[in-house]
Amino acid sequence: MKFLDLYREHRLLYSVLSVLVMVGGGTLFALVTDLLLRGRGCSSR
Amino acid sequence: MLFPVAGVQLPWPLVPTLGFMVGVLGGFWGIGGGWIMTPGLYVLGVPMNFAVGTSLAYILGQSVLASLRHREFGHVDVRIGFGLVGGMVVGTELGARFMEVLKRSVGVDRAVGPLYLVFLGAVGVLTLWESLRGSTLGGLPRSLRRFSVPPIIQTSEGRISLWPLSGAGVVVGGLVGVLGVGGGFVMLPVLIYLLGLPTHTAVGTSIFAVALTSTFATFSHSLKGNVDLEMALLLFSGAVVGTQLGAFATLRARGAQIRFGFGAMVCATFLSMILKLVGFGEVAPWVLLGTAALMSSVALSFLLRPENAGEIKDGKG
Repeated sequence: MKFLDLYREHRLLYSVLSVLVMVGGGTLFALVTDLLLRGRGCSSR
Repeated sequence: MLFPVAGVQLPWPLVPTLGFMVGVLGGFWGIGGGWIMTPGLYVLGVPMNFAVGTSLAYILGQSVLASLRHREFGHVDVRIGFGLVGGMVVGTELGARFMEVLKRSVGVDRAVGPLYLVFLGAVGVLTLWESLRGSTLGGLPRSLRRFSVPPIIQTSEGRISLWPLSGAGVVVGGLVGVLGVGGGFVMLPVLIYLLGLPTHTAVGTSIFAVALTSTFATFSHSLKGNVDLEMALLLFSGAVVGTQLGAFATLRARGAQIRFGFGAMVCATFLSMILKLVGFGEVAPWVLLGTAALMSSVALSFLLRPENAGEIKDGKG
């Protein structure tokens, strides 16, 4: 229940973290797939 | 597996599997899949406000990934994207506040569920109408291009007034805020048929606008206690793999097969929402997940076929 208490107390921080994690996740996977595709000679660059 | 923020317990493989299936179908049809994800979470027992908020967080990850890819291809008109985003943010916030009002009055589940039925019904009818006509709204005048009330912005496709962009943004943003969908499939016809953008630029710009809007939508819904980040990450991890496979499968499928699958999925989502709303909550997940599993398996089976085989047989693709 400690996590839930922290979540309720720091909702703003959790919201910022949610955005950063999802944007970071999308960017990371874009880089990874780009590297994989480039390795196979399929990249647009 | 317990998701403490949403307060639900779900078998853990189910969440990334749902993400994977929606990813395959999204990649196959070239959509974000929020309209499958939100009802999918809801029929699994996630409260509607968390289904909407978590689906938006998932859409954020997916749209960032897709818009970076489209930026590489030069398909993003940043000025039009920012022109749309002002209205979309206003619409999204209005939608999220409307949901807060629903939380305190009739309840989100009871109000948004029927709204989803109207929305899915409209998508189904429009898809059917378009496939029966064999063409789209190409005959409509590009009236928004002729609207020249300042402020006017210079874009890659000429000068466009900011007003119609903002107006379209508010309408699509409202759908984003209330239904937890990306809104790309509503924005796309507006950009192509009313603003006259080339299809590739419209797709890239629409995804870019969705990425900007879902950033705000995720933050706003999270602040209101509607986002389970753990669930969103699990959905996203399944979806990134599925999206790549679905996109490759499209190259091997016929246009008619793609459209039929899309129509079937709309019908199944519609049916599962009705079942859930009339009290057959235990049957609803089987209808939606069963159809999603069947459709994504069919989509993946195209990977075994030679590339462009569908294009050659179908002509139109």
